[in-house]
Amino acid sequence: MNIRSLLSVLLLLVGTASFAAPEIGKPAPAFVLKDTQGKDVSLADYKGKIVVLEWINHGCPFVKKHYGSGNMQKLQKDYTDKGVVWLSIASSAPGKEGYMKADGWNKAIAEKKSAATAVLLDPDGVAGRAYGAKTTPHMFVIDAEGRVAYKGAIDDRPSADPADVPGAKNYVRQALDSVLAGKAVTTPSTTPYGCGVKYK
Amino acid sequence: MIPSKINPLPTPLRALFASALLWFPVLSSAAEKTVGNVRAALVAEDLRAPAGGTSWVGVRLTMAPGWHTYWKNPGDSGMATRIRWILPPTVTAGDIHWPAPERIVLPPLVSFGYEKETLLLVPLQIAPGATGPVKLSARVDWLECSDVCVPGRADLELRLNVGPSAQPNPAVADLFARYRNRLPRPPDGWTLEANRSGKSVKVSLQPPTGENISSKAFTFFPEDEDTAEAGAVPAAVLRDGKITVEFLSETKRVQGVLVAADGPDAIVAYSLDLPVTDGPATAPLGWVLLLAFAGGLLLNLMPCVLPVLSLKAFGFLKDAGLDAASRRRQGLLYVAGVVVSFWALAGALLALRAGGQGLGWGFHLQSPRFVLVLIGLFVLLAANLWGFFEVGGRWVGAAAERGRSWGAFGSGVLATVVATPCTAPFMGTAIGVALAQPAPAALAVFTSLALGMAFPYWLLTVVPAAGRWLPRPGPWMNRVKMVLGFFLLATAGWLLWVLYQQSPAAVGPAAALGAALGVAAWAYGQKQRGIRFRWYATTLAAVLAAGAWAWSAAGTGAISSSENGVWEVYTPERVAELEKEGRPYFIDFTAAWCLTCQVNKKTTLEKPETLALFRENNVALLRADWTNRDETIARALAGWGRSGVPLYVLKGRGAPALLPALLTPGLVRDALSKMKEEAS
Repeated sequence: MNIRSLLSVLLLLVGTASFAAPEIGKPAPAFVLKDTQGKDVSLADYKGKIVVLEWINHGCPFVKKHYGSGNMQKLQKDYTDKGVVWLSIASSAPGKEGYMKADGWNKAIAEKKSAATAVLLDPDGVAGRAYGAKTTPHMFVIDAEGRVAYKGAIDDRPSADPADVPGAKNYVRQALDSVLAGKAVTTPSTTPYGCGVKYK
Repeated sequence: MIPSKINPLPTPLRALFASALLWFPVLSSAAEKTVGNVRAALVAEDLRAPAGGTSWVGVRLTMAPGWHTYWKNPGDSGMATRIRWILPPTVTAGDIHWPAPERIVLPPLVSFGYEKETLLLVPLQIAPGATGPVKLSARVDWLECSDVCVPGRADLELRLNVGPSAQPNPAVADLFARYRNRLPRPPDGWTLEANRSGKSVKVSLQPPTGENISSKAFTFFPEDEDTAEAGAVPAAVLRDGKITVEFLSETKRVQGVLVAADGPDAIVAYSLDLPVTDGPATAPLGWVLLLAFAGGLLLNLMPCVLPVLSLKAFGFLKDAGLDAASRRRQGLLYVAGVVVSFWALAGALLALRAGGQGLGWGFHLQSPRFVLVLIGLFVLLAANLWGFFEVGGRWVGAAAERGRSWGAFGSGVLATVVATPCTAPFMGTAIGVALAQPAPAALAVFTSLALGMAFPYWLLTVVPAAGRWLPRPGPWMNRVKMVLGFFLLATAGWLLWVLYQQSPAAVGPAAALGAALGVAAWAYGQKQRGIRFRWYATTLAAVLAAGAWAWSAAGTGAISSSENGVWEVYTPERVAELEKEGRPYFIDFTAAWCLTCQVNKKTTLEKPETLALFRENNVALLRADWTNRDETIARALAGWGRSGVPLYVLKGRGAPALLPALLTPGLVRDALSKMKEEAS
């Protein structure tokens, strides 16, 4: 076994071992990913701002539910208008559902009218594993001090049916309202629902 | 779901999505429909359902190769299949009974679901007086996934005949039997434990005795993400006849399904629902050793040991003339006697436990014959204190030294034997931990306990000035000996009462044995003093006869002790019921032979004010009586990390509270108010 394959095995082991969601109130794991313009984006760039992380895969019916109904875009718009940074992260590996190169993503952003601050490309699943992202969508809210304030589902209706969007209680909206008002998040952790993230 | 609402997709997915459009259900109904990669069918078990009874239907999902649908807890991703019924007023549908799922692993994600086929079983309640065919409509929503996911929906319909009695459909009998066999069943007769150790929970399951579980593979499926994240649960393993699985979790309750499989079609599933107790393994060994030492030290003050120890101290006073070296030797021999006896006890306990018996401290007192031996021993000790006879002869020189040495060792053994009915504070915890440890650690704990017990006397023998701490010998010693003799007789009397709880028929013969021993001891003393006694042989014969009679009587059956009406008999089922009701409860783990338990009963537990307090707080009172051997109670004790009584558990809505070994009404009051605070 040469050094390179040994290293990759080690990295794989480390990667597998570290697949766990960060704890509420603990510092959010750092990451540096390329956005769809080819620019490096680091979580540290947004120190002092509230950040939303959204795991995304446009092939997944649960993501379709929220983009097809305009629910996700409205959420993005409502809060980016208030100064919140919204990062959609694509952890699908090449060849798997939801994987696209940067230009494909730029087209999808325009077509879907995404109001996210940026879409970040994570084809190796590094950020996904660091956050223990299980599903698309899987949502995280990080407060201005860089601590995890919410993790889990987008709302309380675990279905792929767009008809369930209107009556649902949106946990991300609740969490963001609380964090913006400087209050504690009442439901800081829920079980995410959706398709599994298509990791490498 | 209206397709036009969904926006166009990027190129690689467009083809896939276009084909997905073809899978959307047509809005007509049938008993069977193929949607995408799943065929869904509504199947009735009966050709004719019984009016006023239950009839089962199943939603049968058949998946194309490589595709799966999900269990009630889908795991890391996915969605549980959902059934929405439209039924006539005469029919009510129950919840889905989910067959045992499979683990579907797409690293790093783990899901729970069904590949190939499943049958989701639903009981239908048919109203009395219902007639004719009824129309059952079910809208079934599922998520089917391979490496991509597609939601599926089918509206299924079935006409079900209803009549006065059930007529099963033989064509589906095999199908229903196959999946009913995969439904989780209650683990009747199993011993279940869930213990916390740090950040993880360790669940162990022991099958009923005689059940062979050697050749199976085991998987635990958590009921929800609160019990455990799907990816956090490793395969369960079989060790020492127990199935164990350990996973990271903060839960206070373990809920889920354990599947034992011999092959894909030979599986048994058990439903699990048990509280997580704070495991004994969390205490560091050094701390436990310290506790054991303190417990041993305090054991000296317990009513069973104190008189024997005083006996020893008197002997020490009498031998004040001995040189320091000889004294030190005696001290060490006494320590050796105690340590060796504790080792023997530990060895017996560990061997018996390895054999699968749930035993703990004081276990030998569960044998009426051992109680009988103790009664005899206490009578003889009392007779000795009263000066009926002397122990040891009038040796001189080297023989005297040898006699003293054996005496020192022997009194160590004796002190240990008479100590066994007593439990000192701290001892319960220490021994509980010891018995859960591998043998070397367990032996270390027992050794520490023994050293603690032997320590005070040993100290007397090594400190030269010790003689000065003690009062000078004199006639007062005889008076104290009289009093201590009464102590010992009282202990024998109490053991007689214990014997009564175990084997009522043996009490008469045992009392006769005690009397005969007393007379024989006196006769022996007369002989020692050179006084001729004609009936000497007769008294010895009487002892033997009474002993034989009592020995055989003690072998006969036991009665269970009758209890005060307020106290219910402890059973794990009752505890489970109370847990479900959310009603607080208090468990008194006790035994007639446990003196500390009896003291607590008198000072606290049977006091009207304590009982009133319990009543005010709506606390159910359970008594687990361990006077006789009882596996269920032994296991319950083990579940709390203990191996002996007393143990007092108060459990409200919060974490359970373990009360100290020596109770006071104040302690109980405090524990109750703390429980109330936690609940509010």
